[in-house]
Parts: sequence; structure tokens; C-alpha cells
Amino acid sequence: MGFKLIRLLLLLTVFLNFCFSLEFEYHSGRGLRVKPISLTVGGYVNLYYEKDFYKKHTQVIEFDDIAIFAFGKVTKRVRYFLELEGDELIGFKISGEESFRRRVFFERAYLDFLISEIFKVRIGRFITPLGVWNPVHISVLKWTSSDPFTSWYFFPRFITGVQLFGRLPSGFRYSFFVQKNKGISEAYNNYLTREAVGFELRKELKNFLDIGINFGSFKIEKPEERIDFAGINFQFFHSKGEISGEFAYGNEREYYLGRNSYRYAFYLQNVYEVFKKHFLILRYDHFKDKSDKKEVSGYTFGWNFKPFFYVSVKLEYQFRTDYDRVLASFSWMF
Amino acid sequence: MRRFITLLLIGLVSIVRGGDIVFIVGEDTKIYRLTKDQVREIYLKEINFINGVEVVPVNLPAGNPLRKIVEEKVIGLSGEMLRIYWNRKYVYGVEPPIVLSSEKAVVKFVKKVKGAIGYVREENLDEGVRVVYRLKLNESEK
Repeated sequence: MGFKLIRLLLLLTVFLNFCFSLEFEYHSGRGLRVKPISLTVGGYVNLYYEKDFYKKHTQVIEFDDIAIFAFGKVTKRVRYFLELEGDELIGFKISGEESFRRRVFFERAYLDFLISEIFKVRIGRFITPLGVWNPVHISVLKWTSSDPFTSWYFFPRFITGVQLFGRLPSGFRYSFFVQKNKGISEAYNNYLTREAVGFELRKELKNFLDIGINFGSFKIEKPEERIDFAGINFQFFHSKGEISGEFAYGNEREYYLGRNSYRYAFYLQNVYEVFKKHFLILRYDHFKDKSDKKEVSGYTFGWNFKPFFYVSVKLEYQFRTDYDRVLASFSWMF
Repeated sequence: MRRFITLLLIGLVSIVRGGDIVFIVGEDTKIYRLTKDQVREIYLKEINFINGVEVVPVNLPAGNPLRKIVEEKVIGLSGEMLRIYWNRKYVYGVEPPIVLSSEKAVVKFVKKVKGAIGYVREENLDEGVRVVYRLKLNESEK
């Protein structure tokens, strides 16, 4: 008993000593840096409002993202990233039909092995490295509160598996990923998948135009279906904003119905800084799903105000062929 | 006589080149020459290693005239668009370059830290550092 107590006290002393030896440095929007260990803790919150003009005129206000992440180096060539996200933790339905998940998920949890510039390996749960929109679909970084169709209906937004990526001497950047297992926090994804593979090749031309092509395939667990997809995307940067666009095509093999079908979507978006820190966004979206006999297109007119680099206030109106929507959000990265 | 002319020419070239911005590494860092694209990729943290050395880019404070020139002429992004770029990187665990208060501090840091790369005016060069890229300036920018 006495020994145990001494051991416990010793451990406590070592732990307290360790804590007191740490230095903390906080910068708004860049997290809390803990020295001398390699650890940065940050996060973001997003307060979201939506009103749609469909039948019951659903109107909600919610904290749809409350996320905390931590990252750092294990060694010079091994890095980690961990992110927990509270999804729709606090939400109020003002009118219509809406339910909230109110759950905490792992948004990301991975290790990076930087073997060389040409060859890097990521293992764990990560954001699917395809297209322009999906890699930056975090609320603070998005130009609009809504997402284009291309980022929802063609590939899973998250993968739990292995990603190989890097930069070739010719300047091309590649990403190849594969999943053949159950996912981490797999309920927090646009598709429930345990089998996926994909590839993207990107090239930056003249420092202001970034072009990418991708393709891949994944299996949806319930109802059983496979989607083979291919896409092309670009981003054009200028001093006052950016122009971007994506096209995605998916071939659906609906095993449970014994038939094949297809879907495609594209968008073209222009972002322009009209006044300092005030951006106007105009986007045209189109989506067709032959299987569901659904075809939607629409214009999004948005305003994004960034009073500080870690704050984003957005307001937008969507004129769509199915129903119009008003969306607004306040995002803060800490 | 030939030697004298050579020395004179070297002197003239130095005068003409004076005031350029030079990107420097410490003598212990095994990086000898960089292209403009490489410097850009290092400062945007698109590249982590060169010749097996982990590179550590160092910046001057926001608003520093040298930094403005570097952002405009080398990085090709400035102001709000550059901040947006770093936001996108930060949420993947990549932080912007370290900021040091002065050119003197940059020289000192680069000498001390293996892999560190910084930029200073040519006249602030010191022993123990190596120039790996030179950004030539117009007369009006000097």
C-alpha cells in the first residue's frame, strides 16, 4: 500500500513537472501551440441557418459543426492529425420537418509518413482528396454555406484507408486512395462504404491555374450499389478572387434493382472581392440523376464577409428549379 | 593588368546587384541553388524537403516592404488571397512560415537552424550564410 502511494505521488510529481515545463502560445485562428512538444490544438464552429421554400418551408438554425483538432509531428517525417466533430449538436427547428443527429464523430484521424516529396503515405480516416470543393469543405473555408452537387453524389466525402500522394518532378501532384475495410465514424459520411478506390492527378500551370482529373469506384453498402466515377476540375486564381468549376460523371450499378444508370453534375463559380474583405459569389449548378429521374439546376448568389482571416459570415440565396433556399452562417476558427 | 580589370568588373557587378533581395541558408544546410518556383513552393509549404533536408521558411512581419515584394514577385499571392491559402493549409496541419522581427534576426536564425531559409537585402548579408536565390529588383523597388 505504502509503495503504491509513493509510486502514485512520484508519477503525479513527474506529470506536474511536465505540465509546468510546457509553454503555451495562442494565436487567433491558428490554435494553441504547446511547446516543446509538437502539438497544436485548434478548431472551428459554424452556426448555420437555412430556410427552404419547399412545401412545409423548413427553417432551422443549428451549430452544424463544432470541431476540435490536434496536429503535430511524431518525428521529422511522421505527422499526426486528429479531429473530433460534434455534428448538429445544438439545433432548433423553427418550422417544417427536420431532425438533428446530435452526435460526436471522428472527422479525421490519420498519420502521415513523409517518405519523400514524390511519395507520402496517409493512413487512417481522411477527407477524400478529389476535386476542388471536397478538400476544403470545412465551413470556415467554403465560399458559400451550401455545397455544389458535385461534392455530394459521386464519391464518399471521407475515406478510412490508405492514401499515397506526392509531387512528381514534372510538377504533377497525385493522390491515390484505397479502402477495403469498415470505416472510422462511418455513419458520418455521405455514403456508407467499405470498399473504395480513387485517383486524382493535378497540375498547376503558371502559378494561377490549377487543373485536376480524377476517377475511381466505390460500393455503397445499403442498398447495395456501385458507382464508378470520373471528373475534371479547375481553379483559376487572380488578385481579387478565383474562378472554379467541376464536372463529375457517375455510372451507377444498382444491384438491388438489377439495372445500370448514370448521373452527372457540374458547377461554375466566380468569387470576387468587391470591397476589402467582402466577396461576392455567383455559382451555377446542375445535377441530373437518371435513376431517380431528378434534374436540378440553379444559381447561387452569395456574399462572404471575412472581417478577420479566421471568421467568415455568409449569406446566400439559391434560385433552383426544384425549390429556392436562403442560407446564412457564421464560422469561426480558433 | 588582367587581374585588375577582372576585379574592377566584379566590383561593378556588385554595385549593380546591390539592393537585390537574396534568399539565404546557413552554410551547414546542403542546399546550394534554388529556382524561383522552388522558393515559391517552399514558402507555400508545398515542399517539405530538399536534398533530404527539412526546409524551414522564415518570413518578415506582415507589412514589411521586403515581404510585400516577395509575396508579389515570388509567391504570386498577397493580402486576403494569401490568408485564405493559409487557412486551407492550416486545417490540414500546415502552418504559415515562422515570422521573425528583422533581417538581422533572419540571418541569425538561418545560421543557427539547419534547413532554415530566409530573405534579406543583399547589403545585410553576413558570413556563414549562402545565397541560394536572388530576386532582382528594379531601381524603384530598391
